[in-house]
Amino acid sequence: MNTNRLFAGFTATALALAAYSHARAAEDVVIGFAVAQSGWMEAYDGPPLKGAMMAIEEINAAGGILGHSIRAVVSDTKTDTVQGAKAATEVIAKGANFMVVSCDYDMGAPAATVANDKGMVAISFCASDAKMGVQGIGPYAFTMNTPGQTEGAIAAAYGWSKGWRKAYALLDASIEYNKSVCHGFLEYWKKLGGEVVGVDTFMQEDPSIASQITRYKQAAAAKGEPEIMAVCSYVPGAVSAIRQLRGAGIAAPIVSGDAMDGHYWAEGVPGLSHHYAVTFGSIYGDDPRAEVNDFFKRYREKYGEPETSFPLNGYSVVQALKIAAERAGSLDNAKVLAELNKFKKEPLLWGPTTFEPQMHIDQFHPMTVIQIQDGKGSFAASIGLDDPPKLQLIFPEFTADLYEP
Amino acid sequence: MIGLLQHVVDALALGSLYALTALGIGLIFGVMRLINFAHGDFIMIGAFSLVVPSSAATSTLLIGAWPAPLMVGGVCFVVIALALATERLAFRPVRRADPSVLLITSFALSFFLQHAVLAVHGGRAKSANIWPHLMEPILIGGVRVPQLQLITIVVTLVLLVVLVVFLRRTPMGIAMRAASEDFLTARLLGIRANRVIATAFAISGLLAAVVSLLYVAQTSVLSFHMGVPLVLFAFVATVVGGMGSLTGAVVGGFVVGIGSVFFQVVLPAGWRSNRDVWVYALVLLILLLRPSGLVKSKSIEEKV
Repeated sequence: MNTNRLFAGFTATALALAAYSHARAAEDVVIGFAVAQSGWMEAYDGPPLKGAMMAIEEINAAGGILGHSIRAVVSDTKTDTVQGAKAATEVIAKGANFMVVSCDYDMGAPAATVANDKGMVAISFCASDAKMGVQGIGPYAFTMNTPGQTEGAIAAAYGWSKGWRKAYALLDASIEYNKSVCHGFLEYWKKLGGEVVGVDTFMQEDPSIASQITRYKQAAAAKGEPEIMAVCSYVPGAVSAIRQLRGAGIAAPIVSGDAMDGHYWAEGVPGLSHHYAVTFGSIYGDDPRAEVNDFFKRYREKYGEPETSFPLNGYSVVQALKIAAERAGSLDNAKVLAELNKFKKEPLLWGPTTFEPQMHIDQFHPMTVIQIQDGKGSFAASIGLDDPPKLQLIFPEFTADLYEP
Repeated sequence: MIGLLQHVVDALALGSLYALTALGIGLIFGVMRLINFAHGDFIMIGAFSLVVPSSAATSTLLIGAWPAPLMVGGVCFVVIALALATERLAFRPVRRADPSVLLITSFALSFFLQHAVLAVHGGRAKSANIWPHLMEPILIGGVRVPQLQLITIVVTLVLLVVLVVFLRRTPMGIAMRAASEDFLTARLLGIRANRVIATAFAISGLLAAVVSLLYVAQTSVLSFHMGVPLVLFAFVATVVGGMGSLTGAVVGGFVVGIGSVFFQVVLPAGWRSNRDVWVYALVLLILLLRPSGLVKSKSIEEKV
């Protein structure tokens, strides 16, 4: 065979392939994931990404969106904010219709900003900061989570329902999320009429919280033993704090936010009991919602044991895009945005979801309280608030200082 | 009064941890003018050696499951081997280079070790439960002292005494002191540089291993980033104490640890979240009053 003919043959095949893939690209709905596939954020983006992939597979099997099948393109942000913006540009170049960004405001904001500037809907897997929305990014940004303040308030409501009346708050002041949870907890606790025995702070990377324990014991001796303790922190600092608290004989029930979902971390605190985390659902097969239990059964078959319930949010992000696009009857971002803004208790997998034109985080979302008893996790309660924390609290630039007496 | 004693014990225990870390950094700085920022990662590797390497979210104990003497020996072996390997492979080739090259090498090594652990263990922090009974407090004269705090303070004192005896009474210790006074002259007098430096790295590895064990017993935390805050505080401690002085490193460690607890105790609630600002303000104040640190080192003074 002569080389010219061989070359011509290759060229023809290549052209045919390119034409085919172009035709396919025109047919598919492309969801661009600018999320972390390496670096520390991968541990938090990985599980919801798996949930999103399950949603794509299942929705495609049922006919896709508006008759188009969904195709995912993923670009790694490498847990880096500069790389985050590049990843966003990359998924847009690969034909993304919509974008999904990291489960954190700081990490997801660069990609969400790129999408917003292009007039493309960008949904964060699970950033719990209300700035991941109209106020912080722009009108096209959303997050599939409830504000940290609402998590804190639900933790307070749970404690109140158990008959506990004396509270103590231990805040890890290293990131805003923790402050949001403690602010929400303290505000709601005071609104319910509960007593605050004391408030103290530590830092995520403190090697020791011995002086905080000393202060706790002094407060307990002076004002009575606290019946509930909010530890507003995240893994691993929270594990270190809880280990030291329990080691010092402090047995008060501990409440916390979604950062303490699951019990994979609990082996650092042998025989841990009375720990309650406000999160999205129970991974233990005992969630009151059959669809959640069924989802985790399918998840286990595909990916093995889930560490947290965060895959629910990844699944819900794809669901939300499908519902909004089908209602809009179009993939046009402005029309899809208008439909997302009309979500009113929309039944997504993670729960009924409400967005408003100025509120792209669901402050009314009912949350699940999961408990750890003897080192084992299980469902404890499901709580939604009709009176979530005030907007001044959710946008902390207006926050009154709750830490002063 | 009892409250005050309680705070003193808390402060001494935290100061001990910083002092041990600062000593590891100070020792290497003394003999080869290298600020080893990878020292924190030695601590991190020691902690991770307790568990089976895996990317699973939960950890399975490896060395951490061994009986206490073997566990201590095992972790020390791993970290000392790592310290010696880094000296041979990373620092020896650049030993004659400018101190800034040494510093950058230590940063590169630090990133390498962190990302190696990230690749093997994944980004999610893990927990390892070793010696949980040490968390239980015992009462000494009305003061509640967790056994671990007591052990931390005692271990630090013992290691300090052993190190002082080693440096003053053994030929290798004397060689090391000579090298830290004036490396060139020491070599001209027949002191073998490679052996002295390797020994210093081995000792700093031993100190890092001890900190790993104390830290994990206290917090149970295993994270690729865990060494960084420790090494930053310890570095500040060596500067406060006086660069190049081992006594200074220990004093500096206690100053930083005690300062940290002091501000945690005295600051009003709303200010406590900015505690470290005050600790560093104290550090700045000390450096303003004594620019070369609390304990002056002759060898550094002359060079300045």
